Amino acid sequence: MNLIGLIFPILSIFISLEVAGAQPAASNPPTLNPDISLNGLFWYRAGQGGNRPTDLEEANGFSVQELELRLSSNIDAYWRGDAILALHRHAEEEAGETHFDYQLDPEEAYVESLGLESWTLRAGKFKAFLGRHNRLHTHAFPFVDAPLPHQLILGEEGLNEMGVSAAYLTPLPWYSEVVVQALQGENENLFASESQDDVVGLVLWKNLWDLNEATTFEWNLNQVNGRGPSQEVNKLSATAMTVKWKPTDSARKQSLAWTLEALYAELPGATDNQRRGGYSTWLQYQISRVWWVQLRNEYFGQPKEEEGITRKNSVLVGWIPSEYSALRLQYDHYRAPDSDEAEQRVTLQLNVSMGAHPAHEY
Amino acid sequence: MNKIFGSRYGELLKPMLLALLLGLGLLAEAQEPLKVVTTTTTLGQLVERIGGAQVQVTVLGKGTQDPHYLEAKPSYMVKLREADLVVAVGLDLEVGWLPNVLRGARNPRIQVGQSGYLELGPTVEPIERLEGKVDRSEGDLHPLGNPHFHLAPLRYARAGQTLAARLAELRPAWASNFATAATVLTADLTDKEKKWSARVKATDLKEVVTYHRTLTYFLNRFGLQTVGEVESKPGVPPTAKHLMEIIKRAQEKKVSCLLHESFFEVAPSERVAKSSGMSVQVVPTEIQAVPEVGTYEALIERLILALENCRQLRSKSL
Repeated sequence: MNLIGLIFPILSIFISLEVAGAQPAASNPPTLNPDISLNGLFWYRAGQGGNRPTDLEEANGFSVQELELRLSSNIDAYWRGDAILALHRHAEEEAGETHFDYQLDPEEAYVESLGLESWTLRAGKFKAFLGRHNRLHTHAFPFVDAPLPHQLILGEEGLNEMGVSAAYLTPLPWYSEVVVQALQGENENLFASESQDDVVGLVLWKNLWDLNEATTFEWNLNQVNGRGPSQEVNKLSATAMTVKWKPTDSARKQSLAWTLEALYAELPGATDNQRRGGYSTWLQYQISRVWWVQLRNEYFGQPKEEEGITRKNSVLVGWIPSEYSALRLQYDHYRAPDSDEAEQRVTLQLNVSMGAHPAHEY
Repeated sequence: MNKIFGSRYGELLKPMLLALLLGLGLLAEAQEPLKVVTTTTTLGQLVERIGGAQVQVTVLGKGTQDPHYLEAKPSYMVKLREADLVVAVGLDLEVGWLPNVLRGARNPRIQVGQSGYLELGPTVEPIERLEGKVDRSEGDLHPLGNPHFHLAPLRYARAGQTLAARLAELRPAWASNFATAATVLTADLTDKEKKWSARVKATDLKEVVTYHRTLTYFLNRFGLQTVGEVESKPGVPPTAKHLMEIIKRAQEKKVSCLLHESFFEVAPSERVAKSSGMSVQVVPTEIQAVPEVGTYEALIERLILALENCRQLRSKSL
């Protein structure tokens, strides 16, 4: 374990104690301290492919999935700041042997404008506004892992870059937002150009309609273009739609959400799989105040190709007693390309949140 | 007409006409009602009563929705996009969703600290303020005080006076109208509160059980006490052990009335009532929480009626 790996867990204990003490300070008495929160994700995994030591995501046994420390505050009358530091376990090769260690990364660190009419400007390192899932932090994932197309096209961390963003809320009668972002392409799967002068351009059009008082329909459309390592322009298209239903009678503790998200990438400079894409669709059903059942179906492949197809199906049962803790059991059935047999895996995840965490987006 | 505008007189008339049109335009703008958005139906009605024709009110939550647990729907942001004033309860009641909606609306006039944002809860001397360390193991606590002030009529009227002052800031020409409306509301509710008090006194009830701490202001005002809540802790459903304890307490103190707020599942309250001999009265705590409660007076009337029902049922059982 490196120095940071040693210091951070100790620090986090102090922070969590401080956070517990700081809860009232978020609102009582008045204070200028930022809101501080710590999200902890721990899991136990058991799977047929789980003894490959080089792939931590696949590894069986107990593990810290991630610890996220977040600080949020208004900076002044013009800017709001957010910083999220994430502590991960990762695999390291040393003298031909693999061992796991901890690594601290700035997952996001950005400032956002306050008080501009119709516009929100953002600058720093942030999760790109791609589809719906890419913007979620690990503790807010609907399942314990990211969707298959996101993992295989965007990579482990998703599309998370440094850059600037301008979001405009249009005057249309429904919620319709246009976002334009200029990003420093460092995503090694897609946009790692050799030239630092190359900028990745992203456009998002996000819409949401109230179908009735209990139901909303959201539809997003994305295009991201930027040069890859071969200096060819790589193109990523995405669309996402979500239907959410939550009764307006609060005594009825039920809800339902269905999401479909699809990604398609064209990588003209790639040696193989120049066109690749996939979808992930999931259903989240809240049966009662604390119980959730979720289903997910995923596909990844190349157009008009019978081979190289990956499929995954997942079932999740969640026990969520409050907004601050959840225990979730997920079963995955995974069929990789060139594999005769499907792999199966079970994950039990504990997801907790301490301190003053900002409200999640809808 | 062309002749006039081509002449010397016409040159003089042009700026006068423009000034007149501009003046008319400003007048028309001044008469446009203020767009006010409230988080709850009960606050919505307060704004209507104080603002009259000078306000156009939009309410985010329905009467059947617990304002603690609304979601930051982007469609709310559209409703706030052109608002002149947002009126919220505050005291952390809407903390789980309103900050996102305010930011997402991208309307500088209604941000916290601006004259277009008003929290009424902190202005009515909230009760149950917490001091010292607060811990989430104690449930969903509100360190700044209990946010359900609107069920005490005179606090509701007092909030109306604060609101009148804020509306006057935004529409100075109508200040006296807003102040008069607030005075009328205060006088009206003072008068009605006396009658409601007499009716509560006539029930001879001293203690009740509630599901959540929504009714504390109401009970305090009408001289009633609660011997406990059905939920274990605020926002935490009851355990079997806690239910047994409440049943025991209700039996020991001979409590006959369980007021169950309509936002919550009624089954645990029914179980407690069945085992303890109490009468369960499902009560609304916001306007339009049930269809027949369309006004503030009807809301308080419904609560008083629930107490009278308990009294009647107790008389029958004796």
